[in-house]
Amino acid sequence: MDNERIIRPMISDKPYSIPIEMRPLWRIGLIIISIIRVGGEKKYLDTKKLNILVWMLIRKNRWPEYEGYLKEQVVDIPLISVDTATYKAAEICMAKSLVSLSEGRFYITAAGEGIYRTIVENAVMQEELDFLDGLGKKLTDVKVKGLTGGLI
Amino acid sequence: MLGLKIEALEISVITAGGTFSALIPFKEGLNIIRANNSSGKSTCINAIAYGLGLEAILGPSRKRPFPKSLYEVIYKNKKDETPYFVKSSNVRIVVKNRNAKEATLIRDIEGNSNKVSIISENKKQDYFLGSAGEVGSAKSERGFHHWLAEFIGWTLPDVVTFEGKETKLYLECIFPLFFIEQKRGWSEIQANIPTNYGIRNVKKNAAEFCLGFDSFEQEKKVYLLKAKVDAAEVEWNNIRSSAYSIADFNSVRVSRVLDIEKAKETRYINFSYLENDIFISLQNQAVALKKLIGRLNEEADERQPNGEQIEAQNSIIRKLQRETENTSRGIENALLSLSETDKKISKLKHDLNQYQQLKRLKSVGGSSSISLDISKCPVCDSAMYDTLGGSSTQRSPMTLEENTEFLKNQVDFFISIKNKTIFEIQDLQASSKLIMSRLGVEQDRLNALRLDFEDVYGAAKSILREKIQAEMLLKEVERLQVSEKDINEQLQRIYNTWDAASGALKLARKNVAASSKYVTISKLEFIVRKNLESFQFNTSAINTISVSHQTLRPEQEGYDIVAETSASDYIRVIWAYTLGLLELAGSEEEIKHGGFVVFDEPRQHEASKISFVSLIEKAAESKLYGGQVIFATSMEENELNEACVARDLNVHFFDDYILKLTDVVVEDVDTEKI
Repeated sequence: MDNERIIRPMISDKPYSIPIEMRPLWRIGLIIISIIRVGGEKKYLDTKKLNILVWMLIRKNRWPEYEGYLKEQVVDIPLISVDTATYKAAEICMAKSLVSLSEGRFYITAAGEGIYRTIVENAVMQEELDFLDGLGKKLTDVKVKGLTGGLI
Repeated sequence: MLGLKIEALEISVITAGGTFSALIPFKEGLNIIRANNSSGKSTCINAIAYGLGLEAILGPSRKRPFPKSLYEVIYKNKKDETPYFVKSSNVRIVVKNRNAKEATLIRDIEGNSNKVSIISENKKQDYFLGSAGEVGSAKSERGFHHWLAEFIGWTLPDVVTFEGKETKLYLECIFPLFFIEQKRGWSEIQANIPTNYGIRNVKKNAAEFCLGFDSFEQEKKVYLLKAKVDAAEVEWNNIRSSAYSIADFNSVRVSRVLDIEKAKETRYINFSYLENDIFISLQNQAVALKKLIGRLNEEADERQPNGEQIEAQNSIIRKLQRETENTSRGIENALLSLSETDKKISKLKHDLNQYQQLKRLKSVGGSSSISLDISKCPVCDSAMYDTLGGSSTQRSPMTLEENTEFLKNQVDFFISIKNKTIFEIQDLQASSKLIMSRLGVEQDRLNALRLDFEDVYGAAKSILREKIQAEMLLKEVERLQVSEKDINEQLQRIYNTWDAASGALKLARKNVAASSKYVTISKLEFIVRKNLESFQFNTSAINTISVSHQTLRPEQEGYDIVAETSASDYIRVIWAYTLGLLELAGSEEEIKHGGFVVFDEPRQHEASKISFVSLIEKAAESKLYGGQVIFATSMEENELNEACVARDLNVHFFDDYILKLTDVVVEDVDTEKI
């Protein structure tokens, strides 16, 4: 009983802090670097792969777990789920003509490449770029199937 | 107050073939020496500084600021270059002070240059220059600079060096305000101020002296007090660490000593022993031990340790063991919390870093052609508040800037928690050490009791042992009491010194800030602006020029004027400021000015002819208030004549070398030989 305290709830309309990945521009940046670094010369990326990569990129504390799976060092399948925020960000990208959607693939546009150059020239998202360079290509269709159970 | 007037300058070079000399009389107002290049103009100008023992103001390494013609070989004239080898040479300056007392100063160039002979009121007296043993020329009564300062009517103030020592503000530090030599003088105001004396804020000190501010007395006080405060703080920290070491060594607890500025309430330490779960002060411990020893002495009855005593001792030990466990648990918890806090800080720093990256991206993106504004949904046009999350409430997320600031605050907050936890761990570790040492003592006591219990003479041994232990501990306590008293006395003394010095420091800083120098600075500023206007300084820029209250030198909108103006404009600023000081000293008694201004080649950087004519006009006005200006120039004679027309000036034109062979020696004929 000694540990009990009266807690008064406070209701305020002060602005609240949000994690960086909920900032549209940050997630748009992640989408663009994923398409370019993993898509390479082809300049496109499968929508499922993009969803998974962005999911992974915003969970830095789980990167060792993802690395183990993608490099086939562990058999446990990491949890990947639906992230509506990525869908929203992808919609914005399309509305702003940074990417275009065709046959289940996102294609990068010239404007999108412009943002990519700005990101690289200003040393933004360095860790994320390194992650994509190291593991992006290891996300094969088989692994996508394994991660999603063929659901998405 | 105008200090000196130069009546005449004479340079003499004695050679085997005769004496070369130049005598230039000076008057009040503007004096101009005109000669072509390499004729000896700068020699004359430098001779003024040299004759006053102030060659240091001509720039570094200018111990003998003359060409070889003054100490090796001199040529007859520009057409007849017959060489004459110099036997000796000297400078003679006739000066007059504000009380109309005249003195002739003679100093050798080739000869004994460390001596200045002064002829005044038909008496000749020699004074030394430089330093004679430990006393310099400004401090010794037989030093020339001491004489000169007294002759001008100045008392040179004491200022502080970078090492915190007191020294005089030497004349060499003041005269660069009045003397602009050709090589470096036009690069900056007070360009040739010597820095080898290591005087703090030497330029400002010199300007303050000239403007009659007594704040260097105050500033000196500030520096000295600051040094005292710093020394007290260092001493305080030393005593504090020695108290901690003593406590650690003797396994006692010491009360935490606060930083000196927070020690207003508590500035004492006390050592305490941990006894049966409570901390006992040294005094109480000493009283208890004395009582115990007395009781043991009186105890006549034999006392055999019994089972109860052993049981009691066992319970003490159990209690201490429980405490040890509790403390260890406390340390573990604190370490755990520290590690959690570390993780949190690292996560927050990572988030902050990402937010800073995003800010950078947005600012760069904003300047490029790509629109990165995501305040509205580009699909449905509803407000997005810069978030991908739902906005079901009226609250909106923080802006990028607010969020970055929020994360910074969070980092600071968790760092302060981390520091607090570190303190907690240190305290717990100290307590644990104390309990462990106590446990050791009690364990020994238990073992001894058990042995005595089994021994026939156990009772006597037990009493004796207890007594010896108590006596030893009492000695230790008494020693600690002495240390405690000593430390407390020292802390009190240091605190008193610190308190008095820091109080005085605050007051002194306030006084420095609030001195009545504003009026003088405004007057100087007014004259400088008026002069600049006459010198055709850019009119729109004149109002942006002010005299800095910090450096007492001109500045433009708070910035260093050198960087802000063109070279020719900067020359005008030097003219305006230097003549401004002279004019102000002509009317204000408290301004301490040398009385004359020297400009070597004032028409630098092709300053326009009109502004140079205005300079001549302004300099000639110095006659009205009793000032004296000396120019040396190589301007074309016609041009100069034009500029000087219809003005009351003292102009000396020289077509050849300024030093002329005036006294030819006819070689003696050896008649006996013939």
